[in-house]
Amino acid sequence: MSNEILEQFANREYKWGFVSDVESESLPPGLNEEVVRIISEKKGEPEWMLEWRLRALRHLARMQEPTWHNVRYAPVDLQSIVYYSAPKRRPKLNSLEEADPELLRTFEKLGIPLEEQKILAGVAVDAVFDSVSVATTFKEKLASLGIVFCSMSEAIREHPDLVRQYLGSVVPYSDNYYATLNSAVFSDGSFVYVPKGVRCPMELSTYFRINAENTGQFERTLIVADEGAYVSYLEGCTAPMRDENQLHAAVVELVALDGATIKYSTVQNWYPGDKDGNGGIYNFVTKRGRAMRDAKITWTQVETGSAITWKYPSVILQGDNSVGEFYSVALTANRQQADTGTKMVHIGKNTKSTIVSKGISAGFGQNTYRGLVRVNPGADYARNYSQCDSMLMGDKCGAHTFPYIDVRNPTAIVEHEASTSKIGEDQIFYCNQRGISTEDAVNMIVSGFCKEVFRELPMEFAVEAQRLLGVSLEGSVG
Amino acid sequence: MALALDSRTPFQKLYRFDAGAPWERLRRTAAEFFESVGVPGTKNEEWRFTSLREFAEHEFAPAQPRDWDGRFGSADPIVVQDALRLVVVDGVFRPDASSPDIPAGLTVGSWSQTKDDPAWRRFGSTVQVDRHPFAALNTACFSEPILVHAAPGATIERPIHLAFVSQRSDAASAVFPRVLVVVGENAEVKILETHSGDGTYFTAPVTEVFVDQNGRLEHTKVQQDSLDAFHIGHVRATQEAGSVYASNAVSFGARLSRNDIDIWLGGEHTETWLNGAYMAFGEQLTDNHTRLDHAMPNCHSFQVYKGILGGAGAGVFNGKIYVHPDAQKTDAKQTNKALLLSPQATINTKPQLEIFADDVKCTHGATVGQLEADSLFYLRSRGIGLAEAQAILTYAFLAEVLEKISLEEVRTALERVVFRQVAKVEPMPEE
Repeated sequence: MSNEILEQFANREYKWGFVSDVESESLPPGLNEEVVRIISEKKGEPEWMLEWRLRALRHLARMQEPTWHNVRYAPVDLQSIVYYSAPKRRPKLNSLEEADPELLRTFEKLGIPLEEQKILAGVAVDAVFDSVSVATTFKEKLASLGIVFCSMSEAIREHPDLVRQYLGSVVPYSDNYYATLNSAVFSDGSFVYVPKGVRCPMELSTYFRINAENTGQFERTLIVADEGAYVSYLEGCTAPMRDENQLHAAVVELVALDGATIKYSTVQNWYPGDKDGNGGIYNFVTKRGRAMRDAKITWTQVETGSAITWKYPSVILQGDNSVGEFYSVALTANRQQADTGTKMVHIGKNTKSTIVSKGISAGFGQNTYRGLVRVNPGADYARNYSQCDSMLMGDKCGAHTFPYIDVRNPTAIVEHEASTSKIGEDQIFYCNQRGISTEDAVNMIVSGFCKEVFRELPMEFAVEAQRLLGVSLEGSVG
Repeated sequence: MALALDSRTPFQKLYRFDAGAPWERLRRTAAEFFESVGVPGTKNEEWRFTSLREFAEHEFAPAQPRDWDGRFGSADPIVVQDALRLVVVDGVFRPDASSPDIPAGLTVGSWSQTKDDPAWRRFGSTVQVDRHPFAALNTACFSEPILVHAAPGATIERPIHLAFVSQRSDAASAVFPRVLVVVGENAEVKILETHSGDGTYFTAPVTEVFVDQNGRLEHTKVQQDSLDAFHIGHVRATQEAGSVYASNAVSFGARLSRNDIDIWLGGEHTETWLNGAYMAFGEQLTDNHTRLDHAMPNCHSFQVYKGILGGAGAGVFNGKIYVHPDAQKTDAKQTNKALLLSPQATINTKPQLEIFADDVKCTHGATVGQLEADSLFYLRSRGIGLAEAQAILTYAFLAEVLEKISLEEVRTALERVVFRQVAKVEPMPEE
């Protein structure tokens, strides 16, 4: 590949950058007990929730920011972040007409099918605009099946017993620096509960959007699938262009009880910063699921955005015969850095896990796969297969793999494979020769490279992911 | 001679400062570094799975020079009939036990015997003491280094056997074997380095290797230390253009064994073989760390490490491959396989690739598991009992690596050790 082409690639513009002008009601920047109390109070939370937040805040004071990851960034000053920002005019949830028109236009630009398309698309959308949920649809249909799909704030008010039972059960408030921060100040997020034996009839989806300037977003998502239930959840995000780094420290907890299945799919396309590495989102996310007997949890992610990505969607395979899967595509271009992967902790017998990770590095991008496969002594006949492949475009980028394999059971079988490759000139030539333009050829080759992951995505997302990758690769002729 | 710094470690009395020695500055820097970091804990990523807590409880005294009873301490001493042998007992070079006739083109011997050799100028120049605390400790404590220097163009037919022996003593002692190997341009050498002994002791050997342009070196390091011993060793090799370096690292002994091999590929078109075989039974812990720096284009490396873990044995493997920004056309393959033979055995493995160049072929694979049911069935269908079938397959698993050792007597001796060990293993119950 010639340098000129790679430069074009490196200079790709962020396609989704626009700022919507909704008045925000914000707290002054800073983190202290007062701020946590205000957040909790504004949301009308019960005493136990406030207590939990404060425990997390006190724990945070004893923690150090982690430094073990393979990414470099300017230190984050927690005191300069605004911890609460809500759209000022809070529409009532029963009708869209009451929502801020500016807000609705923003959603339209993002392509969220809140209007007529929502029925056609068959997607129930819980849109988080900054920190407060402003619209929830399809609620009634889901409610008839006993499915709860609402914002976290609402769940804390309406379903306190469920929230109290499961919140922090997979990611405790003391888990890690950013999860602890999130536990103290989480703004909102989604809550899903699928009752016993119920198969959720539609893909649930949430569009997160970081909007008000200087606002770190701290979503907290909790999905509980009761015995034998099934749910597929989609999370997708785009964000407006910004110069300042924005911290995003979300926590996602999945609980799959006996025989339940949870599919969690993400397309992440936050602002990655400009080509010199200015601005961009810091994406420090803790995602973890607990799978009980015969349960299955699948994480699928397509990560193309953010200046810094640091996330390891994990599965604790606690019950016998439980299954964990992780499928990931991570693209780093320009000065983007990603340190991502998964943890599969085998505790139950006959537990199985599959890891497929595809990393693409271009420009000055640094892409790291970091994974852990642990087989505990009791996990008889545990089975893991991991594959992590890297593709490099250009000689200024990097691809790194740090797979940890810890096995304490002689009946376990663990396999790990990794490879690194580049787009060969011969491959491009072969396509050119058959009348396929170089740009299409690159797209084809990259799509093929990522195929194993894309086919795990729900249909709507697979299309979006392909498009996203295509856009990201625009101009990378060769 | 008193140390000018406040010692935090129990190793202070082992430092050998001597203002007249040519490596005095190296020693001081290394000692200062070791004092500043001390014995690494498991919070240190490089030592995450290898706890030195029990090791640190021991207080080791400098080894006392004594008579040698001629025994190697190991139940299976490796004897290579036509080898040039250099024996170091309890840290002291024994010219009486070493071969006298040295072929042309070769310089071997202790510092005092070979101090005029120009190869000594390279001594200590590549060992990164700041990265390896025990290489720092070795540098501060070694008694008399050994040199192996093949002149340019020399093909040394006879293998060179460096035997390091620790004898049983009342107080736990510490030895710090230090070797400098220089293989000149177009020269070819085979080195066998063995470590063995009796009783409780600590050995922290450092071997510094230079393979000059188009030189060839096969370096077989066999660690058969006593099951009460601690072995924390380091090999640092630098390869120039067109050179071939084959490292065979065999770790069968010691209560705690750690082997760090760092290789710097400083020229194009080099070839590197890293073969590793390890066993850990009973309470043994065997840790292998390797680091390959592909700093130049067109270099090829092939790594295979295999381990058998039984009893409450623990295995640790970390293989790093760094492909530097300009090292295009690098071809690096790494495989790590471990067999777990008992419910208490554990393995922590971490193959690690760091790649900064795009036109490269790098793969790594790691597997952990047990013997294949199909293979067992095949043998049993031919009338071989379960226990025996398992022993045969376990042996074959490791033999794949041992076969890479070109010295037949070494290979045969090691295969005998493996077979005897695996024959003792309790057969695993069938599924």
